[in-house]
Amino acid sequence: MTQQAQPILQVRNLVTRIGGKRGFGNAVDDVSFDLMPGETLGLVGESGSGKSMTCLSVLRLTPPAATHITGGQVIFDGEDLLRKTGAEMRGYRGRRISMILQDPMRALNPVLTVGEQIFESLRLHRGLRGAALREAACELLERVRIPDPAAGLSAYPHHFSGGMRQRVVGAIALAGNPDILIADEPTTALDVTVQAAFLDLLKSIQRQDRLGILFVTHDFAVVSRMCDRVAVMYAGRIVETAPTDMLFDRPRHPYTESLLRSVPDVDRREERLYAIPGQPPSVFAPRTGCPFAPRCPRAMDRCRQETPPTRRLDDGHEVSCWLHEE
Amino acid sequence: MTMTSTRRFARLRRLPLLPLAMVAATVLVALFADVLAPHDPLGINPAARQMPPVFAGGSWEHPLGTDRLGRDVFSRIVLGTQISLGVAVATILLGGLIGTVLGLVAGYRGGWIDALVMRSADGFLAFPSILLALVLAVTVGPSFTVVVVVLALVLWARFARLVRGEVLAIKERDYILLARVAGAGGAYIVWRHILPNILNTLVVLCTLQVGWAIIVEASLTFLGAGVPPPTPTWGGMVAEGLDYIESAWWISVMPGLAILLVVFSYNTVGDWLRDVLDPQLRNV
Repeated sequence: MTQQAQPILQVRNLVTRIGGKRGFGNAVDDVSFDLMPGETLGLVGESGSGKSMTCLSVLRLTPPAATHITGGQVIFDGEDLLRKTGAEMRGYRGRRISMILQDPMRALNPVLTVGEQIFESLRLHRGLRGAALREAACELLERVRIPDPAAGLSAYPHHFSGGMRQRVVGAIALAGNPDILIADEPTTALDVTVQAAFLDLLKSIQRQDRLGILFVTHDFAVVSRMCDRVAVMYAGRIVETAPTDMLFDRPRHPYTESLLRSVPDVDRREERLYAIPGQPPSVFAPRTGCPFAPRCPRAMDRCRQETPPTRRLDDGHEVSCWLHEE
Repeated sequence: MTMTSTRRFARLRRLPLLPLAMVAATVLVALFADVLAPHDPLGINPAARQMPPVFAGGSWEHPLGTDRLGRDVFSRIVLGTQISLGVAVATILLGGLIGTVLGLVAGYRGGWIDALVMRSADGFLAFPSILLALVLAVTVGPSFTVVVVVLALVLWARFARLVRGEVLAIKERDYILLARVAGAGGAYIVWRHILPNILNTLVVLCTLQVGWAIIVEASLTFLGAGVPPPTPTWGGMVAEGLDYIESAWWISVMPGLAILLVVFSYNTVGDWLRDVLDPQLRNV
């Protein structure tokens, strides 16, 4: 039972199909990654690359009408979540795996007080009642550094600023003492100073609780601040995984390279900002070969015909590209 | 100081004072009808038949005149308030409850349940309620219960439609997803997160339906398919007075005016409530 060596979450070959009037396709396509206790894994990629869908698949909360998890495993603490019943799954949500979302303005119910929304999670997960419930809620608000927690409990969400609301959302997410927090672009809607304070808070809570964080973002500044490792997603696939500094120093996948080049840099004076030529493929487009091949500056014939396997390189990168075969 | 007082004044000015007073008055009259009626509304008085109202040469003894049997029109309108409002409240409670529950389920669950509920709602809305009432009046016999059931049969569909639409919008909100992430079940989410968000809409719909229920009840009674005589109802009184409209117009016109005023008041208050409760328009 060596806890350090055991990942708390192992996702293996996860496939989530999405379908509707426009056809079918894999929103999440053969995705695998590990998350260690106390580690932050960044999930980066363009809009529509399947980051959020991957998160929802882990919780099995993808939109039921349009999506279907068709394959793979989501092994949490040794158990495959994809084999659990709906009722068993509810026991995991909030208590073991929790989530915060992008827009704190929309993440709280406007007609219920902040207190009522925190009580709800505490009742559900810890079975608290009465004075103990109030006390635990105050403690939670204190943890996320809300000034005057007792007053905060009886306030409505619209009484708080964006940054404060995101802290409240965080408090609710932490109410069940989860092992994993999925953070889906939690700072995108916040301004930069508020963003920094929130990330610091998240870090300190992570250290105290050995919380594993799956951190979805498209902001590389946030990645370098928060993440221990980064997985880069493109068209539903993870194309490269590496420790953060190594990914920045030496990206191995052409897509990661292009992505890093397109981040504007104040030190670099450029006439124009770099943009990757072309557009990501539609989920519904038929696939052969590497999905990045049509936009890749170094694409070979083989790239257009065969999908590259994921290879572990000596320097710790895991990359899915024919350039690194042999 | 001046700021707040002007603002308060502006708010006060926007209040529909007269309709609000009317609504309050109808509720009070309905509750205390027995005390307020100066005469026995069923008491026949052959000596005082077809007395005109006080402003048309009558006496204060019968302020709104008497009908062809000498019954006091004012007392009958007062007691009729009880019946009309009673029908409206019972209908809205019954139809509103059924419609809200079905609308919540249909909107939240979607799929074939949604399709089934909404197509039945369409069916019930398309079905002529007057015809149904007439059929029931003939087969079961007209009664208070028949009127309430017939009205509720139509009303539930209106509630179901509105509620379902609201649920569809609200269930896509982030806090619903987060509630599911927190492990909450469907029934809990609907009760705790969705229902409080549509209460405003429900209150407005209820108020606006009072007028409709009163009018349809009056129509049914007028046609003889509603609450049977001798119970005084507004629709029934209008019908009874029709034959004497040339000689004793007040027998029909007075209850007609009561219907007009009450329906107008409830609808005005309903519109006002809608504006006040709309968070988009409300200044916090």
